[in-house]
Amino acid sequence: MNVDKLNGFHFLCNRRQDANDRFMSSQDPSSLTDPTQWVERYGDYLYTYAYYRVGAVEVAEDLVQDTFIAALNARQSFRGESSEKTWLVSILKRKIIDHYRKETRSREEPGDDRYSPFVGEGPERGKWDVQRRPADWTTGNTDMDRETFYQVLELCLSLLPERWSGVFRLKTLEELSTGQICKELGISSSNFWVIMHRARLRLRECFEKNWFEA
Amino acid sequence: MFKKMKKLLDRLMMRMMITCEKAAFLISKSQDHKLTFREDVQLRMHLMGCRFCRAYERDLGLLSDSIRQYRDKPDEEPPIELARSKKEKIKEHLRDHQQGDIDHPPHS
Repeated sequence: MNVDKLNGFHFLCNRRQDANDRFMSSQDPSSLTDPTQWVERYGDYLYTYAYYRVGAVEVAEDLVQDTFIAALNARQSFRGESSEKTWLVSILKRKIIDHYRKETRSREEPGDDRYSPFVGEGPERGKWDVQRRPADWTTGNTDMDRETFYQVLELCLSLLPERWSGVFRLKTLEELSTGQICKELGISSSNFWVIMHRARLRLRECFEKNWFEA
Repeated sequence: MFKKMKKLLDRLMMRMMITCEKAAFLISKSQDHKLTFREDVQLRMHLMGCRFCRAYERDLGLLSDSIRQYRDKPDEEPPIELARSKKEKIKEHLRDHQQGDIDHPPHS
């Protein structure tokens, strides 16, 4: 049956939505393909998506598996409002957030930052350590090809404490709001700002070492 | 009178003076969030006199621009293949799960 027509029908009957949903899920298997075909059809795409976000093979593989199983269990809720692929990606996104939530809860980082690039005491306190002052990249050759940039980013993120890279990834790659991240990970907003600040300090320094001086 | 005003002004200036560490924190914060008026003044004043923090700000800008570019074109990521063995394992899992489904009750 045509999915658009069904959606139209769905819209007209939205007062009887609950009954209608049951009708659709039992009467319209054509809106979703056979789950056993999902792996061949979307496996690589979802794996690529996950890998670029978590940066670890086994984690990405497990996330893909969890996504397919969750999709199988939730397929009654698929309404055909989005494509099958978009639907699966939305489930995967949720799995990625859950993954970071678990990671963050399981590991507490020490409060002090031993790797601070600032002078710790004396009259110069709070100034950049002479050896670690930021160089201005914009004056040098900053051409980055996409793939190499990504490799360096992954390397540098992997060197951060897990909690920091999780927060950083959720904010900059998943585009979650600050409020959402604080809620999901159970951290205060001031904690959030400190984590982002420290993550950026280290990322910048890591990029300088591994990219701009290479 | 003049002395008093100068003292007041000095005190105000002192309050607005921040360290590089605080400036770096505010630069980071400003990438995700609007700074308060006070923070904004503090940061601007610091940046006027500190070329290292100016460099830091430019570097972070470049970094987030690159990340944004990367993020906004997810389909351009070079695709990676999910290992064949893992695919077969997932398929097996899916079949197991389907077996136990109410839609497909196992034959007894």
